Amino acid sequence: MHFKGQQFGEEVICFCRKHWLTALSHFGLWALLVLTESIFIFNFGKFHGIVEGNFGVAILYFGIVVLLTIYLHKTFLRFFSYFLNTVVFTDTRVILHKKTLFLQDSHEVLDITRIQDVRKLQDGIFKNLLGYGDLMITLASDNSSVLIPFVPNVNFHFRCLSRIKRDALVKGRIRSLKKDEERLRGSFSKEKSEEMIKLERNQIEEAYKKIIGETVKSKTEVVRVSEPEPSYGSTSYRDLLIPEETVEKKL
Amino acid sequence: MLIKILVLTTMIISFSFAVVVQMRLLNYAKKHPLPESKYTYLLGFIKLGYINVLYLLSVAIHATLFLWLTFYYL
Repeated sequence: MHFKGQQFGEEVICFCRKHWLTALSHFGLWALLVLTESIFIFNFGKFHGIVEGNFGVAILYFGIVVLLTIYLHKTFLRFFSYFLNTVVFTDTRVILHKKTLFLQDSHEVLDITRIQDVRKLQDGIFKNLLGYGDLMITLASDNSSVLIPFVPNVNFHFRCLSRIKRDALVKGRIRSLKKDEERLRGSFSKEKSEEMIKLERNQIEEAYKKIIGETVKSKTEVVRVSEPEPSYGSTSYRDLLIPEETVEKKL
Repeated sequence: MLIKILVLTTMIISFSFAVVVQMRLLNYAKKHPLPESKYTYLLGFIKLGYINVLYLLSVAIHATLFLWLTFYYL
């Protein structure tokens, strides 16, 4: 299991976090914090006398300590939330997980079969130079769209999502072909049934060959789309093919 | 004296918060063992664990320095 909520037989294809550009501001804030604290600590010796003699200034000193402490924790909590926000692509769903350590934990799940269109938006010089962009996913049910911003290596994730969508359609087709095969056996003569079954089996074989062994290549990643490990209760593509002897026995 | 107590209390709360953060992070890591790779790390090599170590070091150094400042100078 790769994440909480992963379904039985569900395969994680890939996942991503936002592009490193979104974390750049956190680095900047952290550097600013380090600089401020260093200046304050190294120069405290010059004005510690004022703090010692004056209660009001001492309270101000305490206030600065508290603010710097809070700012330190807040900066690192922002870093952590960068790592906790993920987009997971599985063979059946796209899961947008927005999480912080204390304040937020929300999931948005998009069913692959309900995805109508996927658009890749990569406008602007920075997006093209740094290779990131937005994915706009339009759903079939109510034409609503979901935007996934700052997707790193957006070309790869766009192709990956398109491939997952196509594979889900082919899997659905294979299942419906299997159902048709069962129906044909009861509806036609033995010779006609065998002929039609062989034709459908060829279609299944071709669809199977297209999926297994293909690779999705990008500039930086190679993802092999492989047959999922057969597990109890789930079927692989091979299991969907009805063996010859079973057909002859039933006919 | 009051300022020393207040600063000490602040640093104890800071440490306690850091411990709570560690527990939350551990809980998350147990529930979400995602297949990490160089393509999912920050800038290709920075893991969540590295940021965590930096966080703990920062909290410790911050507390040490301000406690030393408070107790040495005031």
